[in-house]
Amino acid sequence: MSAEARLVHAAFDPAAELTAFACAGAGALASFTGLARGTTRDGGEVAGLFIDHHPTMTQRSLEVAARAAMERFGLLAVRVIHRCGEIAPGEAIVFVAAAATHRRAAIEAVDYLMDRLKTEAVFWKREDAVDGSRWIEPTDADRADRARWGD
Amino acid sequence: MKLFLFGNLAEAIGREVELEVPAGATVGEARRALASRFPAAATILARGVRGCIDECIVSDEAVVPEGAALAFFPPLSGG
Repeated sequence: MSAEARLVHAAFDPAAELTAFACAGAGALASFTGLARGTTRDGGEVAGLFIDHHPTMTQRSLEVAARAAMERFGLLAVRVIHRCGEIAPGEAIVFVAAAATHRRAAIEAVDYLMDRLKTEAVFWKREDAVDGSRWIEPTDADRADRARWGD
Repeated sequence: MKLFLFGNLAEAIGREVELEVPAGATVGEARRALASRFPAAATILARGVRGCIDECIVSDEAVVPEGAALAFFPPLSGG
């Protein structure tokens, strides 16, 4: 049983992370990878993302989310990896994986984790488009997604 | 009082700033003093920014203890 949370400052390989996330006894393994998009909401070209973080609270927020998912869904293991710093389009921003005895717990845990990370992980994300930069904030839909879990 | 700033606040003001506030000032008073000193960041500071003392997010009414570092967090956006 392990809840692993890692803040990373350089590009990582989500496929390698998934392969390494072997869990003895698991009957189900679910994962999600979030990538930096190449276009803005309005279709403009994105040069990259910058993700600011706190020196201690960011790591802790990832750990809190991972442990919460572990307990809530009775997982065998969970892994959360989140980038910070400069991120190029196409690179992975976030990777979450959950191992469980049965599929529903694993799938729901990944969904839950992403909803928590969107609104509670201690990050600040700036999208640098070719025609200017903007700081991204959670949308009403993100908050509604988070609220449906009721915790 | 030493302040630590993040996200668009750090971009507008800098990561760290010293701010003169009276002893016993609340987080809200420090936030308003910061907005007065950096008018370019006043719009950011007026909406959704939360104070953080000793790594705990606190309300605007919380008094900042003497010698404590206060951080201001704009809305979080991970994932």
